[in-house]
Amino acid sequence: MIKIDGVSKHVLKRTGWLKTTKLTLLKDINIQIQKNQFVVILGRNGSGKSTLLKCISGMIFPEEGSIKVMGIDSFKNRTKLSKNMGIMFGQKSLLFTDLRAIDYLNLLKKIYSISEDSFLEMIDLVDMFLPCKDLLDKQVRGMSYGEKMKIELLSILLHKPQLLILDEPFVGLDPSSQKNLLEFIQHYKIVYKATILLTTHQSLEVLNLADRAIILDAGKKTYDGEVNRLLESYSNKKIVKVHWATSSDSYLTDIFDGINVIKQTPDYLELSVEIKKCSVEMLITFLMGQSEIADFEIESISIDKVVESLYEDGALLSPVVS
Amino acid sequence: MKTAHYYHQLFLEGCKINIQRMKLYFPSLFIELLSNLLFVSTVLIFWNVIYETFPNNKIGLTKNELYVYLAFVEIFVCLKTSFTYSTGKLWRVIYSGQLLSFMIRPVHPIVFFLLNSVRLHMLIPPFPIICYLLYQGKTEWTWFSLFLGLCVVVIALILVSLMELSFSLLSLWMTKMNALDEIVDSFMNFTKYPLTIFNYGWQLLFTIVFPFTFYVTAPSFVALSGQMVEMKTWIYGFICLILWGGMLIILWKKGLKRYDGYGG
Repeated sequence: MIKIDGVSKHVLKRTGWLKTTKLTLLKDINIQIQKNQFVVILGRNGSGKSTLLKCISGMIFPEEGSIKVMGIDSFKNRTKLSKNMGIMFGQKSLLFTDLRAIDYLNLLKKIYSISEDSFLEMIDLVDMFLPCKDLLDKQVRGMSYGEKMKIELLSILLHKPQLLILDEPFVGLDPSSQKNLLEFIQHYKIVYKATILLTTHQSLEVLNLADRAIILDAGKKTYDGEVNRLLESYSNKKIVKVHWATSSDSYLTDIFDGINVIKQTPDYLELSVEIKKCSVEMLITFLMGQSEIADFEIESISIDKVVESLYEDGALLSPVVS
Repeated sequence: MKTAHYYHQLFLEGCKINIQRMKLYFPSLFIELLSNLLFVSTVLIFWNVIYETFPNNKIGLTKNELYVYLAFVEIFVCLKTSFTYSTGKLWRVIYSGQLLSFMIRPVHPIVFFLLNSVRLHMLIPPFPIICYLLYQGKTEWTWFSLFLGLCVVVIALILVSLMELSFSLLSLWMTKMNALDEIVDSFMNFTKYPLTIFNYGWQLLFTIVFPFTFYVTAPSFVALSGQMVEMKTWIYGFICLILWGGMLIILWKKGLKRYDGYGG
């Protein structure tokens, strides 16, 4: 579906009266995405996620390398490809704000030559997951951010695209709408056999549904592989937090394998424990023998934490190319 | 392959959107219509004063002929503001990143942009004034000459749009282009008086390089004389169309490669 070969993107930014600086936004990116895959692209702010999506959709020109979508060059054939693509940028509304939602959707209906039945079918479908029928007669400029996002989503789905490119689609949505959107994406992928490319900082639960994750850092790909493999190294870890009743300074790393001290003060201790190497039960028993414990917590590492640590310590991962 | 029927349907949809906007923003529309009427009235008063105060002016048109000229000024301006009003404002769309919203759809982004800026209501206020002016100068034109004049206006509209779009596309390199608003306004200054008041050199410049002659001077003279304009003027007109059209295509293709988009 998508083949990216050695893509680099540079821009010249004016930094003075006559001075420009060359910035590298993407560097030697190679990715192949199969049809009907759900791919999540992760990375810090400014890591090149949106630039990569714009290059894939043919909106901006990659100076080096080539991008083929559905077998054709995406930049040269953007107009043709857009019949089969749905693109949404959560940070930037692409609606005509001075119109009612329905007026804009009617214009798109003509542009894509969509039949009335198909038009209504998609409105019904989106409405099932993200109620939006009541918004159709409302002027876009009077909508809340979340409402705009729903209409935005509807506007890119009317023509039932085979490739969905969603850049931060959860921005502005409340938790319940985020959950519904995720369910919708999953439903759409299955029913329409669509390929989904998505970036997000929020709602990292999306990783549980995605087939594959790509991590970018400073324009370079640092991870490309199955989400399960990405999470595997973290799924066998627990966080143990101990509040001492009286001060203590245990030297656990000398006694137990698979333990990493995250924070230690005289009355508090936080550890990450690899449960394959170290029994949490044994550890707690040991700690209780060391000093009086006022309180303790055992936590699994959340997906948010996993991603946070990936951003902070990319070295944890050895690049995997699928 | 997109057909003429497809674009016709899109144009009608653009008109529908315009009507919807008129409904949603009626007070603004009303003020717009009023200000237009006021503007045209002051122009008429100005020329009446000129002709009464200086009966032997150097404009080269009788008062009746001037009415026809002014009718063509109104025809050009009202068609321009109705259909190609925003061509000089494309740079704002590029600068603000709204261009992306036009690029994600399967029509050329410039066509989509123009569709969104149809302002049919601007046809309404000048209509009675145009009728009045043509009636005043009725001895100077025939239906056929009027038709020919209108054809030249349509060519001129295409030309001016190509020029304004081409200048606008420079923002793909330079991003902000405030000066363009001034340039576009100054283009319109060449509709205020017949360009025959200039010497041959200037007339040539305004025919070949910047084809302002085609805005109002050429079409009104076609309507007045009832004859075809000199063949070389037509040839210049078509050369201008080809040159500015080519310029637009080149700037679009080159500029898009340079475009960084908006945001991350």
